[in-house]
Amino acid sequence: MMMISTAIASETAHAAASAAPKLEPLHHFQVQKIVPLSLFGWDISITNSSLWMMISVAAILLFFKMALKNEAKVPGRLQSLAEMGFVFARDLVQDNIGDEGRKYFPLVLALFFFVLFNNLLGLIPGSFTATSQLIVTGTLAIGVFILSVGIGVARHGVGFLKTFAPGGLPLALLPLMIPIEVISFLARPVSLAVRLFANMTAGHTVLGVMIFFTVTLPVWAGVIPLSFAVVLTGVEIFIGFIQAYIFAILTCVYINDAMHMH
Amino acid sequence: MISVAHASEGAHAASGGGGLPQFDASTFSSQFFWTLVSFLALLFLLNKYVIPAINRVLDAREKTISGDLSNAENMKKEAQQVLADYQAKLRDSAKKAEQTLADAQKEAAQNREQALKELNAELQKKQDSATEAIEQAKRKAIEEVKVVAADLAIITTQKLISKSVTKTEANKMVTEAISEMESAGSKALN
Repeated sequence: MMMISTAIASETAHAAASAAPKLEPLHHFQVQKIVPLSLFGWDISITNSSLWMMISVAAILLFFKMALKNEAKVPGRLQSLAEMGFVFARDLVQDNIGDEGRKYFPLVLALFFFVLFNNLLGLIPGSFTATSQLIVTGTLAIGVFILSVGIGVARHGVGFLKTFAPGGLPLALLPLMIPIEVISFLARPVSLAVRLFANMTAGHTVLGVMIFFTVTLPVWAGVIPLSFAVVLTGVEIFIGFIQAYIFAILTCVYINDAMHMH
Repeated sequence: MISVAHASEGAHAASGGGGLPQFDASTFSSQFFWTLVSFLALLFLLNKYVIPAINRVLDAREKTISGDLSNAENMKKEAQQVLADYQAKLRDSAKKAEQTLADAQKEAAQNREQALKELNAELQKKQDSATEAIEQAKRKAIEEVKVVAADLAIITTQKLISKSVTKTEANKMVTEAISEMESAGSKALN
């Protein structure tokens, strides 16, 4: 309830300030409830964040459905694009994990497209970027982390603990190395989550500021932030791809590390 | 402007978060839940429908391409076979033509030799028969000369025996005898 009231307050503030726009670069990260729901005392309301995640999922499925309408041997443009994404993810798994990684390919494909579409759809004015939410990226990252630990324990049992004691080290160094290895291992999901969240947040904040200046400045001066915003939008599209790629490739790397301990 | 920003900050503070809205823990449970739901739904649907469909397309294409390639390979082999056959046939016919030419030349040479031989034989025969005729004529002439000489001798002897003759008479007799002979001879010759 608190959230709704703040959201409404924010909205009314906006409406009141329409004559003189206010600089609120973080406003578009505000999660707002649309349909309040709860499950066993848990708040599972549908928010703008979850709405745009669902839209992304629907968009991905629609994209593939349209691309594969004919299942043509000689692909059209859209089908080529879909196949390109598919083969890209497949090669990513093949190159980073090898033949054993084949069963994790659907996961990597889904992660790549989930992150990519959330990043790109978030660039639509008025939309919401779910990947700019730390809890969203954190959920994905922790999921990948748990999966990689699970694979490691399932394959190597207690031997998986050797991950923290790299072979070939003098015994005297172990007290120093083990804490470092443990920290770096635990930092993996954090860095995976924060990298994506921070990239999206920073990019969208800068875009928001530029557009704010474009609107508030006189037209002759507003051209400058507008041109920045145009260029930054292009950069953001690029970053959207890069971050999806990084998320997918790091997932492969973590799974590979768990499978083939070094 | 500043006051509204402050108001917004105040609202955040009131809802338990500070600074970035992303750190507002009150939104975590719903976002966590819906992230899991939407991602797992995506994973399930991709795995169930999209991945098999794309695999079908890629497999079908691979099959087509490898089929086309092997077809092309077969056709190439076939073309090479045809070319080899053609060249062999060409070589054969060239050899045959050579053979025919050689045969013709040999036959022509044989024919010429044959004709030459026949001609030679004919000429030889003609020469032989001519020689024969000449020999015969010669023998006949000799025979006749012998006869004439004998007759002349007989006639002359008769005349000598029957009369003693003077020289002039003797000459006259001889002349007579010869003329007699000549007439006899010409008669005989004819």
